[in-house]
Order: sequence, then structure tokens, then C-alpha cells
Amino acid sequence: MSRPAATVLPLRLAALALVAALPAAAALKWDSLEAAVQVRAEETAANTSFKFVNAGDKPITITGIHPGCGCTIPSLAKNTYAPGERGELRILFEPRNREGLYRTSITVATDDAATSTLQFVADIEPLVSFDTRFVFWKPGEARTPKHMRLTFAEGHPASIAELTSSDTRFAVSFTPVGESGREFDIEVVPPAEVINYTVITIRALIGDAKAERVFNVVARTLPAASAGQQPPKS
Amino acid sequence: MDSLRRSWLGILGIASLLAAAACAFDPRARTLLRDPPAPDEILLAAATVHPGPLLWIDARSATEFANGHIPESIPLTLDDWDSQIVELLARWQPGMRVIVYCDDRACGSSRSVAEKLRREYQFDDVLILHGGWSAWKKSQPIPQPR
Amino acid sequence: MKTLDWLLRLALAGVFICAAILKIANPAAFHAAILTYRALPESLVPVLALWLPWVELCTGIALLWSNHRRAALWIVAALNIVFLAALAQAAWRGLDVVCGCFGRPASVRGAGYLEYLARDLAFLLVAAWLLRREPSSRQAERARND
Repeated sequence: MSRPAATVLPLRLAALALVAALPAAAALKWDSLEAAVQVRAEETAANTSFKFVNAGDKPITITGIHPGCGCTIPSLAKNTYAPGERGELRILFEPRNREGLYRTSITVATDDAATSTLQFVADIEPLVSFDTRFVFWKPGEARTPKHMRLTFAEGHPASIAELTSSDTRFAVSFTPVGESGREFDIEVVPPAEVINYTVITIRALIGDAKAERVFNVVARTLPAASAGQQPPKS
Repeated sequence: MDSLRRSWLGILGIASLLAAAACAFDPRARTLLRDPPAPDEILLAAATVHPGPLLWIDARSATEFANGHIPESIPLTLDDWDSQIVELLARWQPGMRVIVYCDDRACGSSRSVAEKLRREYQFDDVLILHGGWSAWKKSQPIPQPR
Repeated sequence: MKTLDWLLRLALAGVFICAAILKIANPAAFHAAILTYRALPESLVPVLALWLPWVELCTGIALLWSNHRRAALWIVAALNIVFLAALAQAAWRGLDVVCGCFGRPASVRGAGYLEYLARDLAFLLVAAWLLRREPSSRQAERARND
């Protein structure tokens, strides 16, 4: 059944408008806009890459790469790609203090005024958990020793090589706890009269490779409560 | 009983009309309805009337912190946690409320920082500034040109 | 006795009107305070934060208007029962709440609860007393028709 003539012209105009309104297809075509990495507990970095091809008919130059955080470090072999040429955006991911699922995005700008947003997901296995990383003694509180418990993740045998206190007047020591060989108790003995804080550095050796990892915990004897910060006037 | 019922219906009715008018004309009321803060967040207007001492934490990048930050705030990011946490722990006192902010509503770093403070350092009064740095900037008076 | 009634009514109205104005001036602070009671689903809290102050304002004004005094006193009593219930459940659950009562929030924890419970109980008793002293509605009709 043929359409009445009155509707054909508007339909054609609509189709034309639709085609004209479509954004110019980005010349850079990515194999995938998402990448996922698994970071095992003893690893301090992971690598992945986003592969792409110049699907246009002109050379294209990547003018900017904007990661959402300082933990994804991008690198490119070169900036300009000929038509049909393939390339790879390498990403070095350093979890630093992150654990669990971490999502971020990376925006790539090209000289054809198009931008691509790449999604990056990391699953970071936590290496160690602390019951607390900060102990303190309030003014007037008895200066008895306090403890912090640290537990390494299953499957990651570890030992504490060294325990140091930035303020040596705080005495620190550790003892293994339980049978698993993964739990340690850290005892902090504060000095009698001193008001200060100390940064306790734990140097641990992880796994068969004895990879060295360093953790900080803090202990502090508090001064008498001051007025503290007042909220800034807005 | 009739006049009593009429009276309290009248009081509640007029109150409701006034409340509706406030929502229509007061921008703060409109934003509260449209974009209420989550239970672990706080609006700037509520933060500044907090009766006790406050500690502001800036969870943005070092460049952004250098370009401007809430007065007396301490930078703290996951990337530089180990070096930055010490300053926070050296300034914090029990009973202080900690408020973490980053760019605006959408950024997640303030939430990551807040969760880490609660989980690993047992801070019990950590809130996130709803609207972040953008909300703070909007609240500042525009400096007049001399 | 009549002067005492009049003074009590004026005091009650004053408290409610002042409290209402301070809450209307800073809806964000009142919203944050209601959240600390954890007694309502989150989505209802902004609605309550924007509606309740107007109810308090209209009730305070109605207390000074003879025709609507009885209704206003009933509302005052009902409001204070609600406030007492909210404080009591917070005390029982061991919550640290913020009394958003007068705009400038005050933290309520431990023994502080007793002060606020006592205050709201006092308001409730004053309202009950004034209600008893009010001529009943039938007497009021008769007085008006005479």
C-alpha cells in the first residue's frame, strides 16, 4: 500500500534532519571501552591496555588523556596514527591505599574534536587489615600500653621485619598471635609525661618472594582539649 | 466540637499553604526537596552552625588544593594517605566532627576517604559535605572590584 | 489567675514562634537534626523539615487568638507528645541526637536528654493546664451568643 503523497515529503525531511543531526562518528574506534584488572594482595601495580584503531580516512592525533585519579598512569607509544593504524593506550594502575572494587574513568581527546570516555575497574585484594591504626591517650587517662592488631590476608604468609617508632620515647614491640602466622599484636607503651604523637612504621615481608611492604600506624598522647577549629564563617 | 475541628484544620491548612509557598519561593527549601543530603552527608548551612569543633578535610588533588580550599582544611587523598594522615591525627581531638569534601556532588573520593577514616581509624563523627567545594564557593561573597 | 493564664499563653506562643522562625531561617540545620533521630524514612525527612516549622508558627499565633486557642493548645500538646516520643526513642537507642529545637543545634547525649525531656514535658503540662482552664466549647458558644 503506497503512502499518501502528503506524508512522503515530511518523512524524507525528517530522515535528512536525523542524519544531519548525528554527531560526526569519532574516527578513533576502541576495541572495548572498558577494562578490568585484578590486583593480588602482594602486587603494588597492575597493567592493562585499551586497544584502538584509526577508523577514519585522515590521520588522527591524540591531544589529551585525562585520568580520573592519580592512580591510573597512561602511556602511549606515539600520538599520531595513520588511517587504519592500530594503537594501544597502556595503563599502569597503582592501587596505593585502595581496596576492593575501584572504578574510575579516563577521558581521551583527539584532534577531531571528539572525546572518548574509557571505564576502568580494579578489584584489589586487601593485603592487611587493622582493628585500628590509631591509638591515643586522653589527658588524665592512665598511660597504660595500648594494642593494635594486624591481620594479613589468607594465603599471604608474612612476617614483620622491623618495627620503628618516630618518637623513640614511645616503646613499640610486636608478638605473633594465634596459629595462623598471619596475625600480629603491636604494643605501644607511651612515655609518662610527654605530649606528642609518633608514627610507627611496620616493615613487613610478604610471601615466598619476601616482597617488602611498609605500613604506618600512629599513637598519640593528647594535650588538654583546646578550643579546636571553629567552623569557618561562610 | 465542630468549631474546634474547624480551628485546627484551619491552622494546619494555613501552615501547609505557607510551607508550600516557602517551597515555591525559597531556593534553600527547593534544593532541600530536590537534592536532600544522605544520612552521612551534611549541608554547608548545617555544618557552619555546628556547636562543636570542626576539622575540614580536602579530598581533592594537590593542584586543586593549592588553587583554593576551605580555610584550615587538611588535604587527605588515598594516593598520599600515609604522609597526609599524620597531620590529621596530630590535629584531631576526641569530640571533633570531621567533614570531608571534594569537587561537587558526583565525586567519590570524599566517600572513600570518609569510609577509610571510619573503618581503619574508628572515627565516629565523619560526614561528607553535600555539594563539596562547589557548594562552598557558591556560599562565598563575590569579592567586589576595587 | 486570668493574668497567669495570659502570661503562660504568651510564653508558650513566644517559644513556638521563635523556634519556628529559627527553623525556617535554616532548613538545612533542622533537616540535619531530624536525620539524627533516625525515626523516619529518609525521603520523608525533607518534607517534615519544611512543614513542621510553619505548623509551629501558625500554632503560636493561634494561641494568641481567642477563637482558636483551644485548637492551638491541642496542637501544642500533640506536638510535645511527638517530641517527647522522639527524644525517648533516641535516648533508649543510645543515639547521639541534635536538638534542632531553636535553629542553633545542640548535641544531646547521655544526661543531656533529661534536660530536653523535662523541657518538653513542662510545655506539655502548661498546655494541658491551659486547656483545662479554657471554657469548654459549649460555654464559649453560649458566651458568644449572649
